[in-house]
Amino acid sequence: MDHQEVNHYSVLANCDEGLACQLAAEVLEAHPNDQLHILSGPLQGLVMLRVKESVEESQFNAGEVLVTEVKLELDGQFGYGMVLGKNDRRAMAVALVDAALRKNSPLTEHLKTELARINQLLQTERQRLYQLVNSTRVEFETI
Amino acid sequence: MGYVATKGGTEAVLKAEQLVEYFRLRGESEPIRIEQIQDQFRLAVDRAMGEGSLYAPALAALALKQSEGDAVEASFLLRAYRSTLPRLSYSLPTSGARMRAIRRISSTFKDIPGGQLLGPTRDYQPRLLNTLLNHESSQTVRRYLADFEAQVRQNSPSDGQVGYFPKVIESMRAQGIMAEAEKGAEEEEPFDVTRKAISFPAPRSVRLQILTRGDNGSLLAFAYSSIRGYGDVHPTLGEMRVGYLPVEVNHPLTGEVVEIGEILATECEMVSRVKSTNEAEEESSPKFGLGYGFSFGHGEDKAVSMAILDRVLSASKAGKLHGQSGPAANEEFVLLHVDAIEASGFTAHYKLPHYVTFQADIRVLERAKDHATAKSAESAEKHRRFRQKLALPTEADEVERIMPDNGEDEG
Repeated sequence: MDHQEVNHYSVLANCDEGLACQLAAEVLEAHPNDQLHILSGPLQGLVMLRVKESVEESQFNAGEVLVTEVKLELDGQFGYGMVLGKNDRRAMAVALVDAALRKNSPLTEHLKTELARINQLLQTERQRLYQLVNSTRVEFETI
Repeated sequence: MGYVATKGGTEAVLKAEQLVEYFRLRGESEPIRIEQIQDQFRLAVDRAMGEGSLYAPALAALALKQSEGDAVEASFLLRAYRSTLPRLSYSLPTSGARMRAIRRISSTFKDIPGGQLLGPTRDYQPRLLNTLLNHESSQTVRRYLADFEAQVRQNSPSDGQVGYFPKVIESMRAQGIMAEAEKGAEEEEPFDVTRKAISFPAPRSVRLQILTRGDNGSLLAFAYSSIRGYGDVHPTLGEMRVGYLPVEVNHPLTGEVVEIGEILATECEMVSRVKSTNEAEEESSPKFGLGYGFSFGHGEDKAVSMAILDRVLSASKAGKLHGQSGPAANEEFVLLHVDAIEASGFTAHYKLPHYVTFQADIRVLERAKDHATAKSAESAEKHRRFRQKLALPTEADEVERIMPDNGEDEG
């Protein structure tokens, strides 16, 4: 990972599920079936959320988050996917794209380009939500 | 005394299970979809996730459907479900500073760095029933969404921001008005009340974990008791923010940061004066102390109440002048009584058969009664004999003397 690029985990965890699955489908098409080995999952489980509070900067356990985890091997390359909620498809998609990105193949560059595009969509969507929120910006005045 | 088991009732119990389903359904209205609960009862979903201590909106919506909207029952279902799943990992420590905010307010300063966003709130609305909702349809919903978006996008162009803000308390710290936080256990592994039994005095991580999974109503009541009259902490809201918080774990092999998605959360800091025991210091540089609140989802009452309680308990613990002035300042009392599932479970068990226990109670009562009767008979006999000995008039004679029965009717 030599040049400045988007973090594929962040993008795939938060983008439209269909887009994540499309990327994964491309990865699957480029690899024969026997190159894919699911090591574990899709497995539902919990991640304990650790929060660093702002008073003493100490940590506490703020409750658990439901997640789905997939571990696989694609042509000998380990791929990891963990996403929020019960979401087998997205977890699998993250793991597949993760493995493909870590291998240097013609597909890698294409995936990076696609991820950058999807990230752009995600950022635009966030900006559009914030635009609505920002309309409630308030200036209180004391009288 | 242990509980004595009761046998039988299987048929009736099974039928009761079916009957409650019958009552849930007998209105024969269109079955409500999980997606609808998740979207349209989002605050109920958030509350169930908070009290269930499990962030899973779809499961929380399902729990609410199954429990017919009973918040405690829904969170009980979530806790039970949670106990069937393996814990795969711990998240990297996150903090509210990383939140993509949809609401952010402060009551300490009107001008805060980044400004204030009211966000989605009912705080300023008159509480009038909106009868128009009786006639809401997919069409009116679509029109509202389109109109609102169009109107905002036309009047205020996007500034390219997505909602990251500095923390208000950081600027208060920079001003030097905050009492130094006692950074006690920074590197220490936080305590997990789901794995180990707690004891008192409890570490800070126990307090925050128990409060954040506590019952909204209980937290609200304890916090209210303290600020209304049974305490002398007078807090101001330093900052409250609601927004999307990224959750990250370590890659299992390489240790890289892996973001797994965003959760909605509420964070709050309450500020109150710390009264120093040192009078000179108190006059020269008065300081403020902080309380911290956190809730899954959009949970303002919980976050604010938790922050107040945290402040009250810290003040009490530090042995400063305020604190120990009311029940809410007693950490053991507060932490042992705010859990919805524990409290409702203990209360609900009274509805189960206690026939043997109660029979035993009755027998004790009867024995006590017999004993008392025997005793009083004995003492009356003693009394009679004593009077006889002294040749005093008996009680019957005495009555005759005071109220002679001369055969006249009253009035």
